[in-house]
Amino acid sequence: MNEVLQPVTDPMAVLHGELSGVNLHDVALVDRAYRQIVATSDSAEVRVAWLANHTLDPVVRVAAVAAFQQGVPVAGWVAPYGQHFQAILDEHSELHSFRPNVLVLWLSLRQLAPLLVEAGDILDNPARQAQADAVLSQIAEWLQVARERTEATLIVANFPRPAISRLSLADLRMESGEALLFDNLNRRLAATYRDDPRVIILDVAHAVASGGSRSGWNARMYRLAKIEWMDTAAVSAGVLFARAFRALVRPAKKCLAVDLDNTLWGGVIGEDGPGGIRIAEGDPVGEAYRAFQFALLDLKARGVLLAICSKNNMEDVAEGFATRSMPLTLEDFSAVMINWNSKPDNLKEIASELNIGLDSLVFMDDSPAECELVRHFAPAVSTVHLPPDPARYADLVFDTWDFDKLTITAEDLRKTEQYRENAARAASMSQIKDLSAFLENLGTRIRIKRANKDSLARLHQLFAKTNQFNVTTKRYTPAEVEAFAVSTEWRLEYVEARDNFGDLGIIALFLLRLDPALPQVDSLLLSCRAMGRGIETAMCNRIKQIAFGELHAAELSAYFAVTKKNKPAAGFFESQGFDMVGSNDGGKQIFRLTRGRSCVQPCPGLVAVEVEG
Amino acid sequence: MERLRGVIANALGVPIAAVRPEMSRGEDENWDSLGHLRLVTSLEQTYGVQLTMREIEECSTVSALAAALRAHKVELRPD
Repeated sequence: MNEVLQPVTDPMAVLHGELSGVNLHDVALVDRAYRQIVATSDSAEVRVAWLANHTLDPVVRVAAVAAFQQGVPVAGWVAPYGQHFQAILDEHSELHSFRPNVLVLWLSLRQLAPLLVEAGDILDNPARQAQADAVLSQIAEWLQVARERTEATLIVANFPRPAISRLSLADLRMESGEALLFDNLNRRLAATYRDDPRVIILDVAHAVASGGSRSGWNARMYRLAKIEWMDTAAVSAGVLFARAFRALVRPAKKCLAVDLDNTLWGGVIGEDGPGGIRIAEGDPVGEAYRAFQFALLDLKARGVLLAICSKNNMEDVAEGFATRSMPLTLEDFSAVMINWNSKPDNLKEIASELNIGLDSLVFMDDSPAECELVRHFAPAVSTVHLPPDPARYADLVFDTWDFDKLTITAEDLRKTEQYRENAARAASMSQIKDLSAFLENLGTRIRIKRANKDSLARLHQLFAKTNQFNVTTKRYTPAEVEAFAVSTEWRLEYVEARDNFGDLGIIALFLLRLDPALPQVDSLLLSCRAMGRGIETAMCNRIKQIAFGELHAAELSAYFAVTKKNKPAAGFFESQGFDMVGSNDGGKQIFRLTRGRSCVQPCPGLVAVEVEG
Repeated sequence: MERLRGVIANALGVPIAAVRPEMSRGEDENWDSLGHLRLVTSLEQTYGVQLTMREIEECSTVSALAAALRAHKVELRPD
């Protein structure tokens, strides 16, 4: 008897396949897709509570479907109309049992201050100002309540301008002008919360305008049901929310690798010669490619590494960059693979050279065959097949969700420089055979500090991105990181490092639960570029000092959760004098260190260790 | 009215057999106030008409919607 075993298919993958083609502008299709998603979203990693004083349903649906299409299932709960305060203040409200990790507040100015929006010239200037101030105060109060009573990340929508202009030609000349009103409101909103790691101001004003506010404004639907934005405006806003939800749970990709011929310039440099490729100003095709090159430089300035992956002779390429004037130079690229080997292999080389995962790479190429090869042999890479016409290449770069980041840190702005410094360090290593001589040559100095407001964004990034030297691989939201930083029951400290080649920045942290009877190491992690110098030992010494010196505890506990990626940290607690007291099949090892057996471990690789506070 | 029943069934997420002329708003949990607006939007997109606020408020059965569409010059062949 031949019984064929059917492969088990993942129902979510099947649903994802079905819904990937849904046109977000088709209301009926989006509704049907939304209902299917809702039926499966109990375990979704993003749980959004939507709170508004107008009816958000079209936007909520598009956001859920768009996020699902991009691989991020979202569970949603919509607060009853106008209950954005009550839903949080009432302990028994469904919001709390829904356990959202994201709260969205979208207040319609038209609904909140109808006179201001629909007949602003009736009011005098102080009255208009007072109404605008009252709106911002209400948002501040709501944020205070949300911050205190929930653990969620808080997304606040800003204010789209009405589609029909009240003052029209006179708008820019009058104090009562809408341009002034909305610009001021939105500017104040963004400025007030710019450095707040828990609050995200979302530019729905831009999304609505870019999607089309005139066609999106349905006066009839507004009067009947308080739906302010529909059609393309709602789709545009929904997509923006989906992008934000995704950015909350997916780390941004770190590197963009590009082909050269008919990608960075028009033509094939090996055939057309450096003089024959199209990259000149004054040439429309050349200008399209120049815009693409500028887009890459823009990404690089925000922390994305650039790489080349091209089938060419190095001499031809070098001559091209040297003799033709173009925005990019070879020095802008952190890794360059120009040879005749397979592109999937080259991309793996690039990932290895830059010390990043393949899943941190985005690859852009105009060749459908090369893209197919990469999708097949390096599926972890995010492959973008560029269309034949370069006109939209620059726009495509900015429309790519893969590089989205909700905050850009000072670390990000130095990324390419940091990798250059790392390469210099690696080069110096080959000259020094002896490890201790090498470490001495490196001259690493560290400072261990308590987490404070300025470091929160970087610490959250470390929690989210560190996989190799990470003993428990626990992930925390910005709200949770902030809570740990201020709590008296936890100690969150980080390490700043520099060496003779430059400033490494914030590269490690630990989180200690301050239970006076049995303090526990909840997290201890180190960025991979700072491994092998003894920084982890210095952190552990500090933890021992807190546990035994400050808390006077009798024992310190820790555990190690084995993952596919954290082999570099295996054996860490043993090396620090801990005893393993248990382990389970799930790969969790439990450690204890008694006060009597604890001692400070030497860190010969470190020139200086300073502890603040 | 086959096509009309199909559009309604699709918009409300109910089987086409459930869409009888007497079917009314509030009867099925999918035909709540937002379901009604989704349904109206879907009908307007399909037939290229714009119903008035009064019509949207007052049409609460399938047959009333059919009558409103006919009033807007939409041809609906009887079953």
